[in-house]
Amino acid sequence: MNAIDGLLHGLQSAITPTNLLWLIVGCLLGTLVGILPGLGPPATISILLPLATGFDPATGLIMMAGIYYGAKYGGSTTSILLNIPGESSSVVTCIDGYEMAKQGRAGQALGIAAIGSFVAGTIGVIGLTFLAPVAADVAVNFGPPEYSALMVFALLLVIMLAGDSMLKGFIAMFIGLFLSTIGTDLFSGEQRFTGGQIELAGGIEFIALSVGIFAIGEVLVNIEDKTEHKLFTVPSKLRELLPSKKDIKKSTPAMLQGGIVGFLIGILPGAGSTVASFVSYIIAKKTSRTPEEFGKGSIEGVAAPEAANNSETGGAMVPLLTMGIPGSGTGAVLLGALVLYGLNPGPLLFHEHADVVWPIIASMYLGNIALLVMNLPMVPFFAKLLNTPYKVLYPAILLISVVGVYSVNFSIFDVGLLVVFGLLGYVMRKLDIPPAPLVLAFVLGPIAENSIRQSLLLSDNSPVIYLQRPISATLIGLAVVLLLLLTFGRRARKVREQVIEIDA
Amino acid sequence: MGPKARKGEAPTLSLQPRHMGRALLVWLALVVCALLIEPLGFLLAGEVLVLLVIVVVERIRSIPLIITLLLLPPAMYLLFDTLLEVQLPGGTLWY
Repeated sequence: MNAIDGLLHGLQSAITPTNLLWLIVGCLLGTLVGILPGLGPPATISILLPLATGFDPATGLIMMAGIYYGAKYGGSTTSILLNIPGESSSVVTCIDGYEMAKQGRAGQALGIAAIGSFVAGTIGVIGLTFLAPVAADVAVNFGPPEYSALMVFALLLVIMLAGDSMLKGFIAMFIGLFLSTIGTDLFSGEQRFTGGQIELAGGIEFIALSVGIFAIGEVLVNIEDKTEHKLFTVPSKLRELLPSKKDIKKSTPAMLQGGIVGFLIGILPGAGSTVASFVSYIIAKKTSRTPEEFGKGSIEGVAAPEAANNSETGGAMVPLLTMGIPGSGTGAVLLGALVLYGLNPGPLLFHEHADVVWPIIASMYLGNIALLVMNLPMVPFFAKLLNTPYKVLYPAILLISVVGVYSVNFSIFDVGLLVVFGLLGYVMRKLDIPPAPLVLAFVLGPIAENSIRQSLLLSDNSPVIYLQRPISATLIGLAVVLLLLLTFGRRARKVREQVIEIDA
Repeated sequence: MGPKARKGEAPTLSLQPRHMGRALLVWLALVVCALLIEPLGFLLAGEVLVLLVIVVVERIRSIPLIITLLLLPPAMYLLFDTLLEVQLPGGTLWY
């Protein structure tokens, strides 16, 4: 099936009244939960995931796409209105977005974020439509050694780009890898690190881990300060919602640039939206006619990272769907969702489950449109929601988390895990250890373990097998070069400094 | 967020005992709630969590806020158990 046929077929099966309804419900819920301060996209999706698992795969995944886009937009909203980035990728949006909000131009910032997301999201999804089948065909040739090399490569990328300290990235990754080994050894059938707990034999429940680390951890950090200062004062002029024609014209190059950059960076396994948004912000600043406005409420400074952030979704779906490698915390949650539906992302997904993959891609187009149509008029309402005192919000978030985790397996043990991981997430935040590598490593861990052990079985325990096969040798070479470059390279360090400069 | 945190601007690295005490208190409330879910059921355990937040953590005096908070667990029970048919634990003590 070629890409266009596939897509049309996908659209056909995606556009049923039921699917559209759930798409819109997902979009709405995603935005509503994503807009709660302290709940970023990964947390939002983890919380809402159980709701979508009750449907058949196509409908459920379409709802997930809605939730995903809604959550992303909700995250941007809190970045702009509250200066609270829901995910590391929204950090850049905060710089100019919050500045704009303080100047009373929150409406324009939110509007351009939605429009930019739509434009770039479309670019990303078009890219995905045509590139994913090609990538899948390449990936068909991947055997265990290639996968092992790819996992090493992806994990390294994740760490390097996750935060500014590689050491902390490694710490997070190793905790994640360790947690992923808990359960039954698939090769020998022995129990590992379960302490005799029968509930742990199947491994740690992913949702309990991600909701604990992301949602509970964030809540615990947010409530530390009892000061009554409102997280947010509602800007009075939210009715001036839409950016003017001049604003749109001014940000068009930034949006297009962000869209393309975001997609290209998104394809790299593990690179993710954080880098995409940083890079496109730098490019926008360098190419802008008014670079001095950046950092002081430039509308381009909102459009570019928001665009990159969204088209990265399309790019990130390429490795996610074809090789099962997520590019961000959110991607990891999505991967978890695919696995919950019994779909194994990988090169064969396109052949074995074409009936599911194309509707997913089609629903991303629809999700994009639904987001624009629904959220632009809803902004004043969202702002009201943010007026709710945090005292009321956070018990609600805690309760939703408990319900969400419990409902996956109907297991009270999982609720216990949630509580434990909540504390872990809190401690990691206190120590400034990025949580994303942990969650990514937890998801990639079993894939890496399986492929490494399979390749060692193939080669009779000789590690040379990784260097004998051209693709895996290349990937391992790339990983080594990348590691050296990012550690010692002058240019790379310069980029990192630039990133840090923006960050600060 | 790293450099910001190191300069002490970001909230992540404020290691003040009073702040951390609040966070740990809420975490303990969550622990209590998790332990009570099995015997008492979600509804009562949720109320215990909310009450702990009202009485111990926040010492809320405002009546409307208290009522809103107390209505949270039943509202969620209605939403999930009744409307979305996600069976929540009813409590082994009563069933």
